Amino acid sequence: MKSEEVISYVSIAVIAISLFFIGTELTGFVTTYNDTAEVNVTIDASAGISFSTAILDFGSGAVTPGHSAVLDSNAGTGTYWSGSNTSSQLVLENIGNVNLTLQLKTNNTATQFIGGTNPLVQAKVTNKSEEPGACTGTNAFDDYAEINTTLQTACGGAFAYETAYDQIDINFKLTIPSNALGTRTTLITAVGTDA
Amino acid sequence: MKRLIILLTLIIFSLQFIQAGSVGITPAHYKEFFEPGLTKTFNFYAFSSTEEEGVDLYIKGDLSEYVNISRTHINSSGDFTVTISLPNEIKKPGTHKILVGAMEAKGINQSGIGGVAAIQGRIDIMVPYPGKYAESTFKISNINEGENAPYQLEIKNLGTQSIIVNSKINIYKVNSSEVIITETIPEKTMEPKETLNIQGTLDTKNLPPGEYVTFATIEWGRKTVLNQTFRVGEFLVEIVDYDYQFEQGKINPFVIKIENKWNTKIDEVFATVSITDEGVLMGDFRTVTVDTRPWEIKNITGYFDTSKLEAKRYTALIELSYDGETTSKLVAIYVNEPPTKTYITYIIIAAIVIFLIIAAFAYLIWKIRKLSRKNGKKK
Repeated sequence: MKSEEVISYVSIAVIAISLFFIGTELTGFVTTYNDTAEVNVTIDASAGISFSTAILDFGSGAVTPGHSAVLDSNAGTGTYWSGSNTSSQLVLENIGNVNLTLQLKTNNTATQFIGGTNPLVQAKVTNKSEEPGACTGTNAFDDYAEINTTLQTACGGAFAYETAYDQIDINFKLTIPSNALGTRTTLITAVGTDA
Repeated sequence: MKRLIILLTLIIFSLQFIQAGSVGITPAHYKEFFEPGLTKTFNFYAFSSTEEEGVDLYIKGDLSEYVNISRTHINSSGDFTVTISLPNEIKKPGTHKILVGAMEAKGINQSGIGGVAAIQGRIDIMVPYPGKYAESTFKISNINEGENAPYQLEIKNLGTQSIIVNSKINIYKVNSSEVIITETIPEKTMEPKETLNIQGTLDTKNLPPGEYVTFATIEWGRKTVLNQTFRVGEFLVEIVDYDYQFEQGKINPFVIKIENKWNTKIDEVFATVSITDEGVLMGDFRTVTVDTRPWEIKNITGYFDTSKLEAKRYTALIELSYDGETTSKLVAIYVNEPPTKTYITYIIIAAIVIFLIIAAFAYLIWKIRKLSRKNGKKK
């Protein structure tokens, strides 16, 4: 075979192969067959609560002699009290993924906490503003009620976990007799139980 | 310098209490059927944000005397196990709850009220009832119009004998005895300890918006009837209530109570209020914009300036806008004189009335005396 013929055959082959690629270009797109893959995950039920505000400090002050001071964190008032008023509260959040029931108690009695004659510690549990429905069902602390060392139900129906409504305020009203004295401390235990 | 160190130390201690104190446990619960002499171990994981003090672990509740916990304290977070060794017999049938608790092990070193978080998971031990016994739960979800309502019916055979279960679900309009939809579930034989979980949908596509009552009837030798209401939503934010009494000469809050009637959230809802007096526009204002959750009832507030308005009745057009839709209401509102002015008016009226009464009495006394004198002269 002459070299001219070889060149001609090769040229024809190149042209023929090139014809297959007319209209074809690299696009970056990949055509795939329908195929499926599976991703499984099992998320366990998790129960949890968090005090996002874990301390309520009424500050210091003196009681008007002959009277009992009443400090109300919900109203932000203090009567017969020389100190400044407090309008903050404990804030509790359901941080889990299940509804809970909620109970509250103190670690000591009003006398142990405040001292003096006829002291009183009252609590009030409300949904955090803009979070209605966070706490439903029986609530012994619907309005100010005495809190003591036995567990009392605060959210008997459910303390909800949905992010939009999972926070409650716990306010306190202290009645401090004029013969009470000293720096006083108490702990409030909030017990959440899987509902 | 010493004072500064003490101060800083106090601040650091205070911050520790102000920061979140959290505690959690997972899984939140286990369920187990009672078997004589059953010994079984359950794994838990507890966590807390109080790293220094850690978490105290405890067992409470029914059957706690048959329970052992592997640890009673962990630092911050960790695994632990709870082992139950049940007796050969528990006389009381039903669910016995073993509470597995985790509590922040912290104290308080400053004045005030401190919050301590505690969480309790559960191990439920179900002791079968002698003979035939079943317990059921039924849930149905709210929907939007044009959707089928998903439901979940769970039946547990908690007796010692097998049962044959027949169930049906009826939907009624609220306060009506007419059955709108019926769903019959095929008969099923259930062995002791067996749980039947039925998840389905009811053909509610053609139901108009409103509230409905669903009755699930479960027959297993006895009849259990469970009811639950559900709502069919429409894409509507309704004006439920509004303020209508305002004080003259000041900027008054104008509160409008709205209700999302849709089973999905509707965002960016606001109202425009136009005040007119016999067709003449006296002023308008816009409320804040709010987001609403499904079925949420919420207040939105605007501010109504009455400084240039007379004390009288006006007409207000409240127009709610949301996602391209509007809802409007034409209402009457009243601008009243400030209380002080009203009191002065009352006092003036009362003084005039008292004056008139005294004058009338004085006139009568004068008249009586005059007549008496006349009569005396005649005698």
